[in-house]
Amino acid sequence: MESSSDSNDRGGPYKPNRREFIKLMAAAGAGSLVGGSSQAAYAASGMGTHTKPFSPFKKVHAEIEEMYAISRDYQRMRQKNTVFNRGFWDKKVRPNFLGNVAKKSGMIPFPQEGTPGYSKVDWALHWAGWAGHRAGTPLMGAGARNTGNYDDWERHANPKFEPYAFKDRAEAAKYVKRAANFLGADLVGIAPYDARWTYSKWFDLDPSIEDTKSLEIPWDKMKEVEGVFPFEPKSVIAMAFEMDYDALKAPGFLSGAAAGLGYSIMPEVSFKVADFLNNLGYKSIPTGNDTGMSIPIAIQAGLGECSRMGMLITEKYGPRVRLAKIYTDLEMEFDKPVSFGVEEFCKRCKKCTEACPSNAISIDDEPSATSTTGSISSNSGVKKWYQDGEKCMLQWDRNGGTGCSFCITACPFNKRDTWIHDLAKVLVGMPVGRDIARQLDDAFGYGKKTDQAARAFWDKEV
Amino acid sequence: MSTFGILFFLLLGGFVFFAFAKIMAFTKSRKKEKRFLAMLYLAVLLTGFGLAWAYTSFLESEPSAAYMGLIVFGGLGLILGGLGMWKVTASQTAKPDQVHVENKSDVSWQKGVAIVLVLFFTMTLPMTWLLKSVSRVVSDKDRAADFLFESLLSDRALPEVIRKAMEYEAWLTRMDDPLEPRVIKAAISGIEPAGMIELFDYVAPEKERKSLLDEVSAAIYAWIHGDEAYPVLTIQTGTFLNNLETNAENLLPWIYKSFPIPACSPGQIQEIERGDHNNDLQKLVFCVPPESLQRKIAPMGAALIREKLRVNNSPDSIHIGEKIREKISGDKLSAAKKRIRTFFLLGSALWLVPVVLLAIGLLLAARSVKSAVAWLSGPLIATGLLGMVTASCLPGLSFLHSVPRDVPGQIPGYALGIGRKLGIDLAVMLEKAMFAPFLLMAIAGGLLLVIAFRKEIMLLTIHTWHSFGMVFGRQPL
Repeated sequence: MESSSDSNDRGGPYKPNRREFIKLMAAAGAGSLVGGSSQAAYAASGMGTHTKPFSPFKKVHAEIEEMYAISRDYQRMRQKNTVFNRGFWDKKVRPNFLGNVAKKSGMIPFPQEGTPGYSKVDWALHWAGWAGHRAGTPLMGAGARNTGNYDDWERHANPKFEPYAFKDRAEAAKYVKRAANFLGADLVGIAPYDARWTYSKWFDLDPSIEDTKSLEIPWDKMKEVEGVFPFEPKSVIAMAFEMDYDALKAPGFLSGAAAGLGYSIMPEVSFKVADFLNNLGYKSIPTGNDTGMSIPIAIQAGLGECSRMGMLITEKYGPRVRLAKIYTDLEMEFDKPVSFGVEEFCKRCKKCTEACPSNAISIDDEPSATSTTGSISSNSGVKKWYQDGEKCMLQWDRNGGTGCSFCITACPFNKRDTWIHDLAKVLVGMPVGRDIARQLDDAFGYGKKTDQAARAFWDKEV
Repeated sequence: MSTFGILFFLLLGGFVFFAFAKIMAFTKSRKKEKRFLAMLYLAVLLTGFGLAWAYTSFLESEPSAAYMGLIVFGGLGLILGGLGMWKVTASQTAKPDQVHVENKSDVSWQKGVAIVLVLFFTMTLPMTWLLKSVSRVVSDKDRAADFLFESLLSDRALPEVIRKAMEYEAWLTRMDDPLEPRVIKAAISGIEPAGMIELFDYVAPEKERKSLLDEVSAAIYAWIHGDEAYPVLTIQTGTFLNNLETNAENLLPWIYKSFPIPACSPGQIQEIERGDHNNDLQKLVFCVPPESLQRKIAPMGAALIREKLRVNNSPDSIHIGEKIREKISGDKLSAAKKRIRTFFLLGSALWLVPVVLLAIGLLLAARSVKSAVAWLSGPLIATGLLGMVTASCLPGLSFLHSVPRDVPGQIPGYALGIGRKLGIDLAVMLEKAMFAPFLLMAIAGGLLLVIAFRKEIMLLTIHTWHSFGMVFGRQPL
């Protein structure tokens, strides 16, 4: 009988035996697996199907205190101290805020006009992105509540139906989360109502103003009021909305358009989810930037971790998300906070600090329990990195009022959900791999805002 | 997922499968070279991984990551594959007694020194050449003046310079800057290029700017090369003030045309017609009146501008040398002058050092014309490629383009903007000056390499062909 080696030596066809064939299949599997699995994941994410991100080092915590040390004398934040709200009353921030608004609105020109990302079409797209926000909740982005058709507290806090009885809290959570996902939320989690994250006082439109709908920018109409919910919230539904990766990589109005689109989707989906709860007979309050701090709520709801730049880092989209939350009296099973190595990675990475043109992001190695910025917009009491909101707002003005997002773009967690970045997640989970992952991120050219990205955005085939 | 994507990954899977099958077949008769065969397996995996990475990165709109993936993973795969193939086939075809084992004593001290000198030449020639190119521009009065004029003061360059200056002013706005100057700077940046040139035509037309620059550069280079402690330079500002006075009537209409000022309301028009502006220029430009009224008030505006010039009592000339004398001591200036002269000298001559060292290296190592050609070819190719890469990188240097961060307070934003524009223009000029000579060096080195190693190259080609034939089942030559 002719052996395979003999046949090979004579240049004839190679016929592997069974053992060799198994070896061959195993080896070739490595190659085909790369293609097959990645494409399945990519195709799935492209079609918008909800897929679980790959999380090799994910850890579930019982409560948020396991992740972040929170001081016993932690004081709730006054909303008027947020940097956006300070634009209405604080002389130190106001020029930056006014310059930002005036440039963005086209009232005054600015030097970047006409360059990639700052052209007329980019400007048009920017405002189109924000159009839903203007129509539905015109002042939510600036922190005011209850100012439009999509965040009508009166309506949503008074449902017309009797409460539907779910079998248990788990079933209630299941239905609400699936509904939110169906209605447009990219990530959904449920947190218990925790009063610490509600602003101690709300900074709101003066209640004496009758016609709130026709207000453009209420320079002198904002007032501090006591924060009182129309009902006692039991749960908070936290939702995250992905922002466009390509647009964020571009400078100027294009990245502003990505944020604007997020701001337009936030109130629309929140409105729908609040309506879903109302139809089941439960009270709800849809909110965006108003009423309470979104990030700690999202962390409690298991959507992600806090980062050096202060943004929420989600497993699937990194910091490339906008957040909304709905307060409700429906009692549901709560999600648990999760960690997947963000804080440890942030300690070494500091790409956002380097990317921030106005030095608004901390460079300290370790997080601290008290604010290191000296700004009243940083509310001490939680061990984390503090940012300088004033410097951040200054950069918005410098940038022609188009927002900034340098830090979001630079963050190594800001990636599409594909297999090659799953490999990076394995590196991020290992202490020795963090520096390597950070260096490779730089070497491979990720995280840069470029003029080329603005051209590529418009050249993309649809 | 597109059909092309599905096909790509199916083909990739097929490529890996069949490549492994072929290597296994190849393994059967070569059990002793397992480490090289392992290199082949790894090469296939790395190449496949590199292709998959690149394709996925293109889908992610990350072209630089895609190319890096191809270079790093694919490149490593190709190197390993080539090395593995070479070793496997070489050891298969050559018998042990035919293998030439190089005697370690062949590497004499001369060769060692020559290698160091040649490496030094390869690594340092591009940088010294760059220094020479910079020095060539800045050490020559006429070249420097022409460069500055084309880059900064010509009609073509001026609008871009002003815009760049304003861009950096905006980027480096300080926290405590009040709103009004921010708005004014923003408004200046909105002036059309034609409008900027028009304004400069009123004050300092292109010819006058050129002659001013010639005067300044002549005085500075005379100071550098002369014995005077301070430059003898007087700028005649009177000419520009005269121009301003002569063209004052054009300025008000120019302001109306160039800035985004809203049209006057009927009430404001009446106020202007009544002369309620109280000789306040700011009130006149608060809104844009109808054209007929503009013509009427232009002389009024001109009179106000002339009055302001008279009140300011601006000097007709500025003695720059005297100004410098007030701020900097003669010793410091002399020291600076010495440093500039040294830079000019070093810049023009330093590139000769690596060339001389290369010549010494060749004298030490080469025993014949053929070996001299062989020794020269490698360094020429390497330094040629290095020089071309260096030249290509110059216009894209990150410090010229990176997002400006907060800078020390004493550096104004406009200076940074103008400095960066000058830097970019200089980098483009240097790229052109460097690329061609280094391309020629690389080509010359390549030709010398072919001449020196023509036999070996033929043998390598045959070997490779032979190897492919063995792997993919074709008959070798």
